[in-house]
Amino acid sequence: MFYLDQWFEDTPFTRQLLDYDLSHLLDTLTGLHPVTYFEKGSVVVFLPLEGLGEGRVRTIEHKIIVGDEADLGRYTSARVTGTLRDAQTHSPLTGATVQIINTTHVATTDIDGRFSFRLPVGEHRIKVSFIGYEDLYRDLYLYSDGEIELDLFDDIVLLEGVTVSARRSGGSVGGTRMSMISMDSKAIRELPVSFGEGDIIRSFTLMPGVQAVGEFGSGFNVRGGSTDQNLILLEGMPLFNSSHLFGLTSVVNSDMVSEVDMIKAGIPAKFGERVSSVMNIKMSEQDLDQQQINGGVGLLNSRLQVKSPIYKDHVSVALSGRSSYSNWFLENMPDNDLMNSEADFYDLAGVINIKPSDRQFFSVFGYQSEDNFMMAAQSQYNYKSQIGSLEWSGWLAENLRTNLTVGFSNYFYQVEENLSTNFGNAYRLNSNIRYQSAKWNFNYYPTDVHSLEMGVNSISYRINPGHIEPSHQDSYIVPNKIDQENAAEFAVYVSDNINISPQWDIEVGLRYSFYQMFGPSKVFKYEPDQPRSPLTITDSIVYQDRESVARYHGAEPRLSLRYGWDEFSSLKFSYNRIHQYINLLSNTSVMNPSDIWKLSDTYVKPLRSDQFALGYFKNFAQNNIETSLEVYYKNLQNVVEYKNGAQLLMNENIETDLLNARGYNYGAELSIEKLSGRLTGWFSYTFSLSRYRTSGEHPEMQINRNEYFPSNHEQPHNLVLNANYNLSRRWRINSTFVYSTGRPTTLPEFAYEFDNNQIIYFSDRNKYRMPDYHRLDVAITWDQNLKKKRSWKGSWTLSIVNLYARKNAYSIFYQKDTPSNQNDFRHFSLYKMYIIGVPLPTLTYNFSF
Amino acid sequence: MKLFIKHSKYLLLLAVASTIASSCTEVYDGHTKLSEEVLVVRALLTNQDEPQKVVLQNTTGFGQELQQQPVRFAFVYVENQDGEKFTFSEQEPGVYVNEEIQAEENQQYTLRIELRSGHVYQSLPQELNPVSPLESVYGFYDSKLTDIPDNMGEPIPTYMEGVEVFTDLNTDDQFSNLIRFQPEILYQYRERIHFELCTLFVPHDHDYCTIYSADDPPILHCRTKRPLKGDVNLVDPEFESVVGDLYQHSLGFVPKEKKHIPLSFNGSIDARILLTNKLGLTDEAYSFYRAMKEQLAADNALFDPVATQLEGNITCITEPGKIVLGLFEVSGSEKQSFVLNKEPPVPGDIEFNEIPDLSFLPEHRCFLETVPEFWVLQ
Repeated sequence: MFYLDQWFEDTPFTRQLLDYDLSHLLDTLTGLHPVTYFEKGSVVVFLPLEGLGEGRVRTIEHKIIVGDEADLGRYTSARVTGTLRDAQTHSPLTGATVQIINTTHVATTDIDGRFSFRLPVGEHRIKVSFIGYEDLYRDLYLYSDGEIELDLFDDIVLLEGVTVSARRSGGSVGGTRMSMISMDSKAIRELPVSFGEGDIIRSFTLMPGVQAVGEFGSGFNVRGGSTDQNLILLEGMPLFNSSHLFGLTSVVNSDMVSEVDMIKAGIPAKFGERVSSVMNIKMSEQDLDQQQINGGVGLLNSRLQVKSPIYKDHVSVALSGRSSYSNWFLENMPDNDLMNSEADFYDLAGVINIKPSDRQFFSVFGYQSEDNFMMAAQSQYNYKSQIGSLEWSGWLAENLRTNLTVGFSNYFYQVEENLSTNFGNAYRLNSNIRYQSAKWNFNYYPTDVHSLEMGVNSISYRINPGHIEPSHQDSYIVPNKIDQENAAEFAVYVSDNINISPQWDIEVGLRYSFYQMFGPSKVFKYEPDQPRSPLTITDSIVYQDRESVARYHGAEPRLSLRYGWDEFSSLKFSYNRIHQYINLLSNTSVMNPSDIWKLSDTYVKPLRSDQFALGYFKNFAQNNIETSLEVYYKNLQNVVEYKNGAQLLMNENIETDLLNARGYNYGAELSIEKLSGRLTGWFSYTFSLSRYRTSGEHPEMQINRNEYFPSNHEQPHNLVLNANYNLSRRWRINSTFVYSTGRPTTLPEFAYEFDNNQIIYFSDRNKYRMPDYHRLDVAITWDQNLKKKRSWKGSWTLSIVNLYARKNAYSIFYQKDTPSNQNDFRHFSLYKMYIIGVPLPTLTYNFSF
Repeated sequence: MKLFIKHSKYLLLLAVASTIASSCTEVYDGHTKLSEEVLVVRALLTNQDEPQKVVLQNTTGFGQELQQQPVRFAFVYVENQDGEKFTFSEQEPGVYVNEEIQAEENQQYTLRIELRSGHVYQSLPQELNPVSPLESVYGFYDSKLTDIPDNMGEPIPTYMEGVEVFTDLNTDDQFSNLIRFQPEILYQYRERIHFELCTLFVPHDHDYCTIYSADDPPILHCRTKRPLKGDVNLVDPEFESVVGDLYQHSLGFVPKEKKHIPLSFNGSIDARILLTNKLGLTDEAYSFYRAMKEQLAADNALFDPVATQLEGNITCITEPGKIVLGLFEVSGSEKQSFVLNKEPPVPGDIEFNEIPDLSFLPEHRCFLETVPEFWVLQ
């Protein structure tokens, strides 16, 4: 190997470079330094780029020729379209920057890892950057239109030391997409850990505009939207419950996740169904000939994932499982209530990948998760999710790609009240939702200035709102079943992405959705101009099987615009309208898996959201520091709200307890992120308001006299500070501080006596707020070894949640008290419930081989 | 590493225990209380020939000790649709009574309250909903878990034997089932009392009790009333058992035990008499009582529905938007009495026989050596 020392001055070489294969090592060095090289037999000669001219000296392996050399002179420009993938897993990489050096051409890879340029015919040099991966440089010889495939390698080890990426942001300068957060499995692993492991849902709640319901509570809120307004897709199928143990951890085992994207605004036309966000979770499309086992042993649960080829290069399988073992501990607790309690969960996932040729790909995915929760032998909660999907993707022609996904997602919920001392009220309540979907998507690249995406999406819903029956022979409970709801949703969409100039990008889309609710069903009629109540029922209409009960449809336009000043700054605008035909009815102080899903019907109109967003993106220090400022405004129509004391469970006239509201959400999100170096992390601040109002004529149909009131999830100020520091190559420390305004709540204001009963008068809806929330978590990780050739890799993570023992309010509620000396003879008291009131340590061992 | 493995079991237990132990509740004092008191109206107008009452009081701030705060010196009257006004006079602090008015069918009534502060409150017009008498009352011998207060006042769940009492209601007409009940049980009992207790009954005649010897003490005849159900007894189709075309509506549970009546160990119950008051409600009154029932039944557990507000039918007309609580109720009323056939109740042989109504009797009264009027003989 021939070179001059001064070309690599100030660069400490690490021993780890010795683990690289030669071509990988040479790529790394040429990517980092202004040098190139050529090989002659076993000899490698380095040469400085300066004086040679870009791309004049190169190895043939790094030359990409697009088109036929015979076409030279025939065209002045040509279009190059490419796909970027992870070299190991072959998963498409979303959000990577592809740059033509010394030009203004910069693109960001889309959700399928694709990018496209219109370039002058001739020689170019491509640079591909993606945080967590090595930069890739290639020389491009362009003669006519064509397609290229590029692979990026991970395990980046820069010569100046260790770099660990914190996460990947899609809200970066390139591309029309804004308000987008992307992470791959590496990024997720680097995120702050809760209970010893990376957690997808928890991780996203640390991002601007995304807020957790609480330490205990399913789901998350995006830009002032409720939890049911988020479409969480697991391999293309929606998750109806995203949390284990009511929110302690998410139901998706991050080991299996290859990539997650969340889009908060400018949602592409191919997505609909929910109005606030889309979270697209992709499981591994793994390397078909690699075998790997990884997992983790924690204090609350353990997990294992196995990947293995079945038929080399053509068929592979990945299986993962996770299970808690808290029951064993509870049974051994020296407390009767705890001994009689249960809290356990498991989840299983599996993917079979089939690749008959380079242009065709099939995958079969299956998933099941289940939770059991019982406290002191009283109410027992059981909930279960099942997902199955089949995906085919392939090229139908040189410029036409298709993707077909069919599948189902089922969610079952059961609560059993089996009061050991009072069997008279013992009951079992079941509800479930069955969802089936088929989506056929096409990507067409007709000309060199735009790409088209179009498709159809068909969905079938079947909801069993509730079936109650006695769970003991002495129970007085009368069996009852609420009528099943059946509906279908159909959508067609088209989206056109136009690259007007290096500065201007535009994406225009239209989705048109049709919705129909079917019988069998019984719809009650009410007195006109009177509040709906069981007392104002005048008639009922019985609909037969498959007979149309209610029908809605509407256009959902989409628009995204980008103006880039240079490769480091841009301004983006987006607008989208979405209709949502399914709502989660929740009348409890906190979200929980027992909440009921409800389809749009004669009285419950589809929720409609119009969102406008504007963002300025600016990167510094060669894209190592990303900053962004986004503002948004959302207008909401047909928001489902509830009458005071609404009964949602087992209510066959549920429309009598629901109110129609409208509202708006607006806010601003500031984000500053450092992506590489020993210290990485981000700071984000979000201001957001979310207000609703009813418009009923009668007092029963009003909330707070039809004045605007804060929604349950309005938290005006939210601040996150996250820092990762690499103490050495093996040790790294992470800390996260979160602050947010307390959630709105309705509290008692007065007490009085009526007919010898003590009655409470409550404030206006959401008049008060819970105390502000803040918490500091820290985690320290020690890697056993970092050698690439060593098959067994392990790491220990010690995390402490809530380091300074803040008792953050999870719920504020009142209870009747027995007057006594201890409580100053009070008949009622307000209580604050907190989930984690002490520093909570967790130790986890993660491994792979 | 080895150290960790050696002690891992204890570390695991520590972590799980700390997770469970860390989740807790504590009294929360952080919320703002409104300083202004709010008027609470309790007004019931029936078709019974009895004094009609309007009770006015003020609220207590939440978290403070609940106290009776009568609203005095108000001008209270009820006006019917013919413009006739019936004024209620303050008989005791905050309690306003009129002995002339008796609600009639097809007549609307409006309550008006004028306070000394100048605020004027008025109800929505209410029309009497007549009710028919109960055709029958029946019961089943049963055992039921009931909270019995211990010596410290702490409720202890205890199984009690007794009679679950039902009546049948027609399911056909929803309007006719806008009904609430005020069931009471009248215990009629006798006991022999010692000299000191005897003198309490005849304080004006110290010699009276001396005629009795310790072997032959005087007999006290008493009657005492207890509500049959602590909370609101409302007909609610959602929770009624349906038998054929009828709702099998529970009126309450009559415990066999004697603990809750002031009876000495040598006393005996003569009869248990069920007093029923069936009240026909307006829509507003029914909604009010339903909300009240929900609020009283709420445990406020973690996943329970959010607060139930009680919306009344009275507004402040001098300051619209000013909060006023309570209800003006105009209800048809049917009062009936039924005596249980056996004392004590016998499983398999439970019957209730209707007798002339005794609901007019006071809550508690005893007579020394004299069998009082209307004493029911089994």
